[in-house]
Amino acid sequence: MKVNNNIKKGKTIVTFTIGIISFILTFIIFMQFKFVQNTDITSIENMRQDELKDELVLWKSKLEEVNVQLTETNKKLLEYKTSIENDAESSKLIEEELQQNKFLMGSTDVYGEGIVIYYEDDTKSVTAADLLNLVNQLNMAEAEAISINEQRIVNSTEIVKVDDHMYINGERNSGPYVIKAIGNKKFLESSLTGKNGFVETEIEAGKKVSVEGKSNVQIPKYDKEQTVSNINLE
Amino acid sequence: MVGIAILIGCILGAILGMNSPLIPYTYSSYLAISIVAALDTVFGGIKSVLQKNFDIKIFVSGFFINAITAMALTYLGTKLNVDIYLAAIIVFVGRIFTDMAIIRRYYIDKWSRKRIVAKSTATVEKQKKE
Repeated sequence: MKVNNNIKKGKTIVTFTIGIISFILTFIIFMQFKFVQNTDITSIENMRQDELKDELVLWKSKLEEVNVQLTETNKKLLEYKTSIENDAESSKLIEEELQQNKFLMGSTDVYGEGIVIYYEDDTKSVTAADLLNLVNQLNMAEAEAISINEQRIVNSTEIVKVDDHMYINGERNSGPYVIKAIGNKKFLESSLTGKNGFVETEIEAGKKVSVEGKSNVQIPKYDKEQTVSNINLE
Repeated sequence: MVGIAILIGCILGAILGMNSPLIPYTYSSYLAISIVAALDTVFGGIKSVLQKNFDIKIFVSGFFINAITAMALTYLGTKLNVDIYLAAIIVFVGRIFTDMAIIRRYYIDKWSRKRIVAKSTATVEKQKKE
């Protein structure tokens, strides 16, 4: 009876154990099924180690390539920046030179310290030579810009007298003449009013001349076109 | 009786397994290898039942220790950068096939023997009638 009971007990234990084992096995199999079903095999979190290694190597090489490209691009950028700076510098110089040339050419309105000469001519005895002499004197006194009756005196300016009229820059003029000059006003004034200077000589000759120093003399630009056709650069 | 236990165990396991939370990816490979190890033990168990030398202690210890060893080897493999789990899979699956062959032969033999016995019985009965 006892032996029979023992056998029965043993059988129950075996049955129970096998049941539990089946439960565990099925449980983990289904857990794995669920995992495989619910995971996206292509996403990085679920990639196998080997695939991840390959990807890593690929990305590393890509990163290196991109880094090399970045360095090159940075170099080029630096070159461009330097050349832009150089360009800016040279264009500034060119700009300054151009401005200087414009002043010299008389192609801009200018203002500055200088003198105004009122040169009256009642008897119309002022000759072109007188005006040329005056311009010469002013140039000698380092005048930077000169105008006679608002006609800018430039390199190509002609002062000629035809009949009773004075032609300056091709424009007809007659007295009184207002001559403006920009420069050191003391220097300009003294060069004209000195002993045996222009003023004294002219007054002696019976003409009315007065010189006035001003801190702001405005001289208009030479408004005609200046062209050259025979000059060539050496 | 055993059949019912297996059936109940399987149904419960399936239901709970389907409703279990998702395991992290890292542990999934360990779980897979332990499944193969456990299946090997189950097939070994069936074989030993058929050969009439089934021992529940050997079965249970084999079930757990094989699974744990397989997982430990997989872990070691990841640390050593060697795919040891492949070796474990080859061994376990190889053994499953061997066990399956034995089980197959057993049932084929049994079935053939039954047919021969049935045939011979029929022949003997026929001779008796005559």
